[in-house]
Amino acid sequence: MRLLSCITDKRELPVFRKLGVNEVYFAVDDIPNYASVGAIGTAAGAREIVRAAHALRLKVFLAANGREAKPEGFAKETLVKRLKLVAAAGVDALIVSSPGLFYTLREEKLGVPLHLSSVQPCFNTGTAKFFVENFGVSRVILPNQLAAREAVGILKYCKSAGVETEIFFYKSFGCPYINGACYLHRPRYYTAVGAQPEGGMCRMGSGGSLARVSPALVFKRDAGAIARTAARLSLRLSRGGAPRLLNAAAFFDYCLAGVDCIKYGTRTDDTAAKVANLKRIKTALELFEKLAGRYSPAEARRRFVEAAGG
Amino acid sequence: MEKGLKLGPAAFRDLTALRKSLKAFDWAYAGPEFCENLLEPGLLEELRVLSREQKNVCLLTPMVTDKGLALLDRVFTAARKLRFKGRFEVSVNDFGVLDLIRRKRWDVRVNFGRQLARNFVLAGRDSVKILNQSGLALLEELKIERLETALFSRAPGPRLSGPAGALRFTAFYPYLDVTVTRTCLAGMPELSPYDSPAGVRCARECALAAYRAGSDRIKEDLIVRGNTIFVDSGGPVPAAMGKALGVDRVVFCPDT
Repeated sequence: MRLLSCITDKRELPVFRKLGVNEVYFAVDDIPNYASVGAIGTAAGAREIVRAAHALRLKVFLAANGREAKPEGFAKETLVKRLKLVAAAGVDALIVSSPGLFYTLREEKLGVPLHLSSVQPCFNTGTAKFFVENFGVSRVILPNQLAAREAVGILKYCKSAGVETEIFFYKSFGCPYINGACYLHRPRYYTAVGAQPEGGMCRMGSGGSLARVSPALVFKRDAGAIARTAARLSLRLSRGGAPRLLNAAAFFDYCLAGVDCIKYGTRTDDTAAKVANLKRIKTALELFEKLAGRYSPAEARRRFVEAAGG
Repeated sequence: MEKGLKLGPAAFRDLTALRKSLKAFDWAYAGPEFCENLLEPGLLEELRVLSREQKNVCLLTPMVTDKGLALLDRVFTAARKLRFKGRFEVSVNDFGVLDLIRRKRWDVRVNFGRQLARNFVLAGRDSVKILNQSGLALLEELKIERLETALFSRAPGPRLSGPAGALRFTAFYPYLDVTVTRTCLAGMPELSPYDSPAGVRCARECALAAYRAGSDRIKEDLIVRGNTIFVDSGGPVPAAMGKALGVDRVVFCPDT
């Protein structure tokens, strides 16, 4: 299994290499990317990043995964020109989510491998086939709202098609809703009151007062169940969302199923936080390697969760 | 402007009432739009009932895992044998579902549902914005001519604008979907880190009620049903607004 990390500063490259990172990805200001944070310069400066990464024997990818972009940033000719610059710089793959951009890249034949971003969620084998067969995707980055046991078919298909798979580390999560399709994140369709919390409005109320929840439309009269659900909703809306399908046990199962790459992608973290998190991931991966061949899957999973933490 | 009514499973309990409620509408919409756990065995029976009505019918489908894809495979196999008295369409919210329809060589008209449509257009308060022209070219290649959306109802103003061309829109009301999650806020029980989940378990809590949620952080109330959060968006888009934006069908969703 390979370890992939985001970078938001060129100086992070040698530091991360020493920590055992095999691949890195970055974003630039003038190519739409998800969340538009932590960009390093512009497409014109990509060559410098790529050269520095390759000198350290790191594969390097560019996040071009803005699913929703400002029209001026997505004007086809300008965007293609910038992507050609990045391709010529020798980037090893582009991470893409927009179907329109996939279409453009297929037309332009840049010769750069394409990774299906988790922001364009692939929850089933049919979606994987759609992007592999229509656009030649060489890696599928699985969304964090898919359990390992649900992903068995996708992993099997990808292996048979020679397509790599990638998951996020289970302790580093972004949006608790479907990433990329969440319009709670920023106040587009509602009016925010006061400053927006770090990480977006999806985490509104964390540490603050609980949401006031009451039944609005009642379809079946069951006062007890409705009250219990209202209480659950109040807590979840105010304290980080519903449970996560990619928990410690599911992460272990993904590793056991042979997922190719583990990603750490919190671009809002500073270098010190990134280092600490990468160390944590590396330790978890070493723990997996140690336990997987030695015990039955159930026992190895139990020991993994116990040692790595939930 | 065509008019549609989105029907929940409860609407099929009383067929006389169903017929009465459909009277004012051209289209009947059935099926789960947001959650694969609601792909129930009864869905096919609902389609059978609707096939006997003098109505156009649209089958809504959600984002799915392989489990949902297998269920839809069976629903599609049976649905293609039905003979509808009006037109029949399928709305998809997942590229895998589109892939399934194409693999089955099912020559049915396919629309992109509210989730998938956001890859191509974004509804604003006074516009429907095309995200990129290449997306439109892909829609043409995929033979998709209709996108579903939800819009705030407002009087048309000078800034009102929509895409030109053959693309048509269906606008749902009176709730606009703001976000959706697989791990259902209302339904999914807590998970132990030791349990590797097989999927999203629930007790169909969404069948009991939709909830109004007020937060100190947001001025408007949120409406939560199952795994989806909505805001009130008002009545159907006025005809003039619809004309400006390319909306030629509105769908009333009383139960979200």
